[in-house]
Amino acid sequence: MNKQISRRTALGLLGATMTSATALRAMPARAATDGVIRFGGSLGMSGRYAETGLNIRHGYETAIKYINEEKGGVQIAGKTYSLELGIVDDASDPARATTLIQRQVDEGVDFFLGSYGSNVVLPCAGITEAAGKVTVQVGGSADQIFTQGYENIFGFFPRASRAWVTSIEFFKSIEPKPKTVSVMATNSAFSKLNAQAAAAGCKEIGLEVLDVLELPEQVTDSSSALATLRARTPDILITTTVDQNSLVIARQMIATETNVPLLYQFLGPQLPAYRESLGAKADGVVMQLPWDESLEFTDPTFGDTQSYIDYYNATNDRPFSYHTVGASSCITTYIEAMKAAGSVDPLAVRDALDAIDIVTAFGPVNFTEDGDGDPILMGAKIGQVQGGEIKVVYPENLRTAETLYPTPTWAEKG
Amino acid sequence: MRGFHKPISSRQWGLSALLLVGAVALPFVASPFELRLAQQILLFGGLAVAWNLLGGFTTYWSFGHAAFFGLGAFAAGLLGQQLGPEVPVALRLVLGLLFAMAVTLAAAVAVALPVLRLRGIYFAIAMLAFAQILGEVSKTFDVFQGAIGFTLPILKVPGLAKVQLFYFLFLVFLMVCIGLFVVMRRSRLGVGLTCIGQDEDTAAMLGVPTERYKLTAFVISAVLTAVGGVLYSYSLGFMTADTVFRIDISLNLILYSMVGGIGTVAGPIIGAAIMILLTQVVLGDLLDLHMLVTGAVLVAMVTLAPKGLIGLVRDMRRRREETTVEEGAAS
Repeated sequence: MNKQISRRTALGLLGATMTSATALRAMPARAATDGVIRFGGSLGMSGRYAETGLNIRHGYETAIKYINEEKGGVQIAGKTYSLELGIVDDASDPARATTLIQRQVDEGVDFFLGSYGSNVVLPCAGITEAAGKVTVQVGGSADQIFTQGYENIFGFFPRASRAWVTSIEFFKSIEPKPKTVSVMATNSAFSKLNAQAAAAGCKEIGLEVLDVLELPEQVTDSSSALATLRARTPDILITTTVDQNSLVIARQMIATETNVPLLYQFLGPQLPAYRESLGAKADGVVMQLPWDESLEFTDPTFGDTQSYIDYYNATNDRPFSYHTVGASSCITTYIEAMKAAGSVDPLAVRDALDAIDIVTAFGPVNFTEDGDGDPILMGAKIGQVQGGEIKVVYPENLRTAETLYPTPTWAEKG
Repeated sequence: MRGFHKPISSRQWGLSALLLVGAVALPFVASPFELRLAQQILLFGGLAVAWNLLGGFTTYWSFGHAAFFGLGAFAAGLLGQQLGPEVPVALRLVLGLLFAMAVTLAAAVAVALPVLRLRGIYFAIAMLAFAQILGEVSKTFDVFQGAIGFTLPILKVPGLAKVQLFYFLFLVFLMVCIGLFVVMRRSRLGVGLTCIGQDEDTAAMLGVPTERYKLTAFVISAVLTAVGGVLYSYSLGFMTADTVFRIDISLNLILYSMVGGIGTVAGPIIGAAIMILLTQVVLGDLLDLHMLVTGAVLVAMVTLAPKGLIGLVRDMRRRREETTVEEGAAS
């Protein structure tokens, strides 16, 4: 029973490990031939951001598969290129992400696709920036990413402090005019930054901010915050919360009969699971729409939004999210920039990205001089659940329904 | 844990000197990726050695050392912000290190007094909770900026790239951790802690000042971990609470120690090197399988070498010596 590992076995294992390591490291190098454009980057495919990471990965893969298989690659300056994706799992760990990104930089990858979460995106941006490589990303919007003076990073969303431009304009457009607002946030960078921006924007247009209520990062009980709301009921309640947290808050508002004339939930109502869970009670809830399938856009790769959706559904089992569409449009944006530059030189592509002004399945793409998304063109639209479906209620040129305000009470919704 | 007072042999001195020369030369020959890997091995190896100052000698296994890692990072970061850009970055880093050490020392003493009265799993869970609480506090109170995060200034030294500079800082950090571990192991404190690890009640009856020794080891371990947190946050340049108050950091320190060998000086460093190379080089490209393979490798290692790799080597050497003696006696 007390069998020792023989030297031969130990050496064999060591040799096998080293051979595997060498072979694995050699694989990307072999692929880096002329006629192939490699995209690198990391995503949190395990760890706390795994769900969104997988959505983004599917978006990248769908666009690359379509371009390679359906279009036979891309033509840039008379030469045909196929696309290759080299994404690694950063496990939502910044140290791991920076190391893996450095490896891709060392291997000669010129074009990067970002991770998810500003605390991962920003340290990685420091490495790609120093190496003169370009990053187009759909997963980080903290102001700090775009205020470091970096010239090579582009984001598909407006920076956090500008993400509320459309929403504030929407509040201004509501009739009869709301007078008061309360904001509810959780303890996360995303939620807090958005809450600050929302409160500041509301104040600017003359809305009185009654309360800014804070909840833990994972909301399980919002009853004390709701008690405050019942005592000082605002005309608009903004929750800068994400998917599951938004659902918990809405459910507890229903259970405690906490009514407000307008409930605005940043992220959550966009998901079918949210609307199915609340049923008729979801009617009237307003949300930011980074993207919605009802918005028809042309797309230089897929033709239009509907064609993109059809292809995605035909080739993937996973339901798409706005991150998925955004990720696919990152690839399209890169390709269009390369075509405009007539080159796959990263600096030329960077300059073309600076000037890009196109429409993709995700919507218009136009970056500010700091690299974040233009707050008007790439800012969110405003949606409202009406009859179980999401209708676009703002901006007016994209409107598919009039805003319902004030909304019925929970009891009146049936 | 054998041989506390065994003198360091000339062979060990020679090997250590050789390793140090190699480590100093590495930044001038390695690629940036290899240097970043080495940085992580040095930092997390050092942190695992620091964790071993208490967990390696005794059965007080902290599952919440990320608390001190984050505390140090936040203390230095916030002080740096208060000092402002007019203070040179290097001075801000030094002052931040001193401030982080002072804050962590105070916090470690405060938390140790109640927590070190607990033993085994209760101590482990209390530390886990402490780390979670600190993470939440840093996010709840806006003054700490844990939720929205903050940037740290870029440290520059002429002639050295950032990746080289932090490699050397992490190397110094590891050397300090190793030095303290070796000194402690060879001191009365180390002997006392080992006695506590074997049987705390008997040690107390025999006159070992158990409370004082545990407190001392806990505080030194916490302060070193905070120093690691400061260097880590400066190396990244941007941090939020999610960057440093991470449970996987706490768990990895235990994991590295288990893989290499708990209670040894080389074990945690070897464990860190193996796990970092395994997850980021060997399995780094296996997008969907790396977690599965890592888990399988860990199960195999823990099953085949429950005392870690150092323990495995020692067992193999002992068996070989026994075999030699038996063969000698038979002939």
